[in-house]
Amino acid sequence: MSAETITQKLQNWSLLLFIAALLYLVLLAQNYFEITHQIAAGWCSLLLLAVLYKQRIFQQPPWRIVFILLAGYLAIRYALWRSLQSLIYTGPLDFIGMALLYLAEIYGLVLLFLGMYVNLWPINNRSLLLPGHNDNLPTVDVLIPTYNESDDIIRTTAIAATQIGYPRDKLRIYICDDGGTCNKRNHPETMQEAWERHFRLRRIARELGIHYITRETNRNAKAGNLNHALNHTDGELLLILDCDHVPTTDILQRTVGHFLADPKLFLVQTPHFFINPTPIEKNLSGIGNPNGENDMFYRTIHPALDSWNASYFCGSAAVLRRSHLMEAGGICIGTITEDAETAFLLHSKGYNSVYVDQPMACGLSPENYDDYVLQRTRWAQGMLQMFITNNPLFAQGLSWPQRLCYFNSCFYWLFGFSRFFYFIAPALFLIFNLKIYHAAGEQIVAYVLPYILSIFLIMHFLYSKARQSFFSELYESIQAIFLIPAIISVIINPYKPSFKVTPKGYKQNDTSLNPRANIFFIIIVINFIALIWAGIKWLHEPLWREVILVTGAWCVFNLCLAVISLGAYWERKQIRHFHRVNVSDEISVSFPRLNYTTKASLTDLSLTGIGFKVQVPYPLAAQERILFEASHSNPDGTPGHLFRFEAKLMRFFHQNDGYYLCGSELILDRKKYGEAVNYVYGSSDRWLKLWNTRSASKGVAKMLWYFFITGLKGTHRSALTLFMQTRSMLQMYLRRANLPRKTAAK
Amino acid sequence: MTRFNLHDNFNWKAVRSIYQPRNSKRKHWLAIFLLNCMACMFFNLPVMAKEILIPLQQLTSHSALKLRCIADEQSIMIPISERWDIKKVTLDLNYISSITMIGDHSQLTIKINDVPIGQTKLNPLAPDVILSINVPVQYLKPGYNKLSFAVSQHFSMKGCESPCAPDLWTHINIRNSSLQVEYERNPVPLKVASIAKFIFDPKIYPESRVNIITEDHSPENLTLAAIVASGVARRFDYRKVSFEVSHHIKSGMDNIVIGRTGYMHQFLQPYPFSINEINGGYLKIFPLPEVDGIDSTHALIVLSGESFDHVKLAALTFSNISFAYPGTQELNAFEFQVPDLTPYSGRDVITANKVYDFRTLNFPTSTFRGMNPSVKEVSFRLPADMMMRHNYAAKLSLNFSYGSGMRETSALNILVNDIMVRAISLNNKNGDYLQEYQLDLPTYLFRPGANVITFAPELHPDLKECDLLLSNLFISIFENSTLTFPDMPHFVELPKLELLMLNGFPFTRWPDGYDSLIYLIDASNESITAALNLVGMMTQKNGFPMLSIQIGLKSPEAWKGDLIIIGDPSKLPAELKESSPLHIGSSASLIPYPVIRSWEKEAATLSFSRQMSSFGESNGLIMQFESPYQKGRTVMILAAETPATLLNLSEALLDSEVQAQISGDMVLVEMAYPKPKVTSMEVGKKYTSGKKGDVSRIDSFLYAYPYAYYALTGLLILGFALTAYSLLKRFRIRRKLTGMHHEK
Repeated sequence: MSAETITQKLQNWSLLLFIAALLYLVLLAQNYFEITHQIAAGWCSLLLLAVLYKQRIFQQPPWRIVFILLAGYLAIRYALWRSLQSLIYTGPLDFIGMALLYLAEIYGLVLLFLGMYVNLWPINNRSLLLPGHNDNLPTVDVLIPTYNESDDIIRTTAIAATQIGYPRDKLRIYICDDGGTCNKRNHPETMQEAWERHFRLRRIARELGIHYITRETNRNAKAGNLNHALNHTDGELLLILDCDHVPTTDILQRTVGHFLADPKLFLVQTPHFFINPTPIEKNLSGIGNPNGENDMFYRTIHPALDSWNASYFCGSAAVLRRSHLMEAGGICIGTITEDAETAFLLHSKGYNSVYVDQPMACGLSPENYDDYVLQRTRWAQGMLQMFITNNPLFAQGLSWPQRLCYFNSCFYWLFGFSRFFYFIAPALFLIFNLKIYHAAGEQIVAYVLPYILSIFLIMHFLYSKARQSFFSELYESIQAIFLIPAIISVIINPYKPSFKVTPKGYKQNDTSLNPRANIFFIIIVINFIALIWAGIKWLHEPLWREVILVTGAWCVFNLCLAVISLGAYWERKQIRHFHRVNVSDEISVSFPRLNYTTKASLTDLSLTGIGFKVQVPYPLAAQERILFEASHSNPDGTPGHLFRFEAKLMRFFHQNDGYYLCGSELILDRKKYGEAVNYVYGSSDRWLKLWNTRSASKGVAKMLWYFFITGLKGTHRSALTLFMQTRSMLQMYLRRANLPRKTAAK
Repeated sequence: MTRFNLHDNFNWKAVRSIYQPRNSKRKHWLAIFLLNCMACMFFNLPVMAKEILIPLQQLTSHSALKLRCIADEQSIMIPISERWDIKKVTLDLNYISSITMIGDHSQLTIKINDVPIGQTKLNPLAPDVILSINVPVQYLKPGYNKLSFAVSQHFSMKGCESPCAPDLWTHINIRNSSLQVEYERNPVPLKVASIAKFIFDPKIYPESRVNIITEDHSPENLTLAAIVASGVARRFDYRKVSFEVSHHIKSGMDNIVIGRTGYMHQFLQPYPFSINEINGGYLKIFPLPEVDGIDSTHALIVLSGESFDHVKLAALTFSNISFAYPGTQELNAFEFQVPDLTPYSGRDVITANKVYDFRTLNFPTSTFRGMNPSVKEVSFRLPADMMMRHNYAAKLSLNFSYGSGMRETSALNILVNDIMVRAISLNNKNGDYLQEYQLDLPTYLFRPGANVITFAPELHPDLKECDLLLSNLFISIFENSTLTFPDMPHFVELPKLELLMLNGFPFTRWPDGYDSLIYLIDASNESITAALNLVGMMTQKNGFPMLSIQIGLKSPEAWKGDLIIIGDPSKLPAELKESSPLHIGSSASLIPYPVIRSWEKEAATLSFSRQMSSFGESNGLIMQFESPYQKGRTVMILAAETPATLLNLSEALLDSEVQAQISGDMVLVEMAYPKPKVTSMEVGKKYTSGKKGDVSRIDSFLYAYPYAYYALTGLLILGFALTAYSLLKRFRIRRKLTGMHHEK
């Protein structure tokens, strides 16, 4: 045994010893120390954590690990106190409530510890550029699976794929169409649409010089589609793109190099970058700019998973090595999250993965809450299927860190239960008098408050660049209750769920409250009644005021969260068909009518138009023709291709500083459309810049306040609606019962 | 009544012949007997009747009995021992009544066992009254007799009178009130059963003495004496009992002789008593022989057997006879089974998670009547080292009923240790019967040791005061109400001599004294007596005989349990001297003097003086500190320079006023008149003790030095982080080798 191995083993054992010693110390303090000592220990640790949080040095290892461990210490204190001292049997119903709350808390604690472990030392900046000239580059097949998406979306993605910077002889692009399968074309109900789609997509493929593939049936959904394509292609590498994921030109230049460097590499995953806002972002448009929900996953969690060699396939915007993939029998079909399952299988075979944290595929996220919940339901069900059928914790072939990472990714999706229980738990005590949490005032001060506050600190420490405070609670709340039935159905029958495609490109035509929000109305009522009971109990049960105070505060938190969730469920009307992206760049603008050319600042752009800010010494005219010149840089930093577009000035606003704020519509023919795609979607640097801009977004309080006010108004409106509906139902019932009018009036 | 003991020229051999009657001597003896009787009648009888003064203050914990409202009644219990033949009782009563009452319509009635024995008008012109009342002795019975004071008080005869106006009060001044009791002693029934109730009776006032005679002063015999003393003390309950140790019978008190058969025959040989064949443990009761006769009002109890084991069997049997069986004069014991003991059990101590009904807790079904009913209490004890967890709750399940027609403001107030915790509204005008009314009482209201739950109803009539109908004002709390106390960890910071005075802790952690040793530095009678007094006191505190306590005469360095050391401190083993708060050295001692008394839980600021001195002939010292032989175990030293002072110290410890002043880890008791002076200090090192007594050195150290604890925690976190960092770094380097060359 080498000296290095011995040292490592010693260190492994010493880690265990450290853990055991820490546990011993925490237990010792809990058993013997007076509560004043515990209060001092809890709050001093918290204060230290808050001070260290502000120190930049603690962002980087090894001090980063010290910070995380200090937060872990507070969590361990709480976990041991909660487990050993606060679980008291006081009756069967109390016990059920207490056990459920305890399980919910333990669930949260496990996730917290896993989160801290996974995020100990994330890897960033993993982009690896291909050398300028290399004749030994592997052949790459670009697979674009599609099911029912519009031609525009598919065409854009396909055009962008043709513009990928890679030797043409080594790049083949395939539209893998599941909307025009033989079955669909032969089925009387779908045949017309399927045939039309079949012909349209074939035509697009022919025009672009790419391939069109379809198959007999739609068996195994997306996974089946890709597997079918695998059998009809032979590239060494596969770039898989959802049909709404438009690639940048450098996607292969930044990813293929990893495959050359590591023969055991099976996957390079890149972030899913969404050009359109999620429903929450959309609702906050003009109020604030929150991080997208997936930001947290792609910006912090995935780099952390990558540090443990546990970055997994997310279904799109990823490059896979065919040879390794075929060892696993292609894309897995056991679950409806075939991507994660495939990565799990290949990891367990000893292959590696890499995550490149630069957005290189721009996609569309669900446009409304129904689609949003549908997508999350699929993820939840799929990951839970994997959790049940593969049990990552005991999977053969995975290293322990990989097991924990996969366990974390699957286990997370049970959050619906805990969030739901947190919503009703205080009411169980305040209304039904169930004793579900046994804590004296001093213990709350000593253990509970430092723990809760430390959670906010550590969450902010780990995820602040990808998630604003309290938005995790908001995101979880709006999904939680709707995920519960789906999760239960998987637990009952893990093989039952089927793949449902997330609709993309939906347009919200009016502002309305999503019907799903009604459940929050019930939660608000429950917590409101509980709050009233808290007041009554406060007067009548002075001995329990400490507990009443805590549960009352909890109710207030629940009320706020429910009202904010209700506010978030008000869906705003969407005006544009193509989403405009706020960008900042310099372009050259010519006004032929004025024979004037000048530099302008780009403010937003989309495939149909460009917004810019320009200083022109002449008056502008609506509908006048203008010319643009713009470029984006190459991956190596050199100036790239120069783009020239013709456009029509649609509207302009003269500002006080002498600048015009202009909106224009591009005049595009087929060739220019391709250039527009290249210009708008082709640069990963632009997406990276935009991504980083979002991460610095502020104004959390303002956004939450907006949701709160909207929610309050919504509650008011919902209450009125409910009242009106109840009254009309009552009147209808009385009318049907043929009661005299007077009685009915009464 | 026989009074042989008062005859001057008494012949022991003659007395023996009474018990071995022979025809030839019977007449002669009859003559002597008759002469004796006549002598007693004419000369001795008047002086034999004893007279004692019992201050009422000593019969109740209250300083005054307050009688309020238009009608009220309060009572105290008068103990009358079965050994007493009461001849005359006089009550000297001092009371003060309100000067605004109407004398003609206000009166005080004195009752014995609910029978009125006297009444007086509450004269507003003479509010401070001293009254002397002859109590008819026929109303008194052996046991506890209720002496009640009932008042009817009025301040207005016109219109409506507020039934509980502040003007309506009478205070019985208990400090200045007393009972004068004249009694003669009854002869001791010569049956073993009289051990249980008759001989050792807590109702004997004011205190008792018992002489214990052992075969020799070997540790085995002394241990047996301790067991016997413990059994005696337990029967006396809370009544003060002091022991004497000698090799011969002492008159005027009950004597117990302990020894093997051979010794016993030899011991009884001078007396007219014989013992039958001894099998196993042997126990027999005789009247007390004296130099000049036999005192039938005291007993000589013989505990014997063929071997030490048999004698111990007799001692254990003696210590546990608790009711009137057997009715014979002697018994042979062959086996004795000690009940399964659990740590921390004892007098009134409640076991965790066990449901106690109120009847078990000495709270029979009780009815509170009228507008100003007196309070009633449930008293119980919690282990002295119980560490209260604040988030737990004791469960009180009440079954009670109350009368109809009460005003809605009526309530049943519940207090825990004098802290009001709940008022249950009695707001059903039709009356009600409530079953299993659940109350959760937070455990932070309770404390280790004695606890009291008080029920104090406030009953208000619904009618106008003029139309008072009070008989419907009642609430009954039923004895099937229950109390359940949750389990708590046992952990306590020591030394705390107050815990010794609370229930003998830590020596009664096992209630039978298992794991406790009394080490006598010398085997003088005074040291042994001090040990027995201490055993008796601890037994009375904890309520369980210390059947497993041991007395040793050898150096206790191998002893791993708790230790009591009695004797001259200069003869202590060196390590004990060094560990004690006084740091007693061979040439000089290091005496700690507190300079500043600080906050309650803060250690006093100490100065130290190295000096050669002693604590004087009239001073006794008690010290408690951690055993140098075993972590977490306790050593307690009872020390005095002279054997006489040591004996006085042990007797002083039996005084409740002295007990109340003892706390900390070092107590100096000056044998002053009329009461000893007590100085308590906290000068020694703290240590901790857990459920089994032992606490690991690391635990104890970290508890004592919390900053070390926090520093260690910080170091562990740092160490953990750096080790994890090193491992992660290696992991990442390895991953680079397999494909991660390009991390920026």
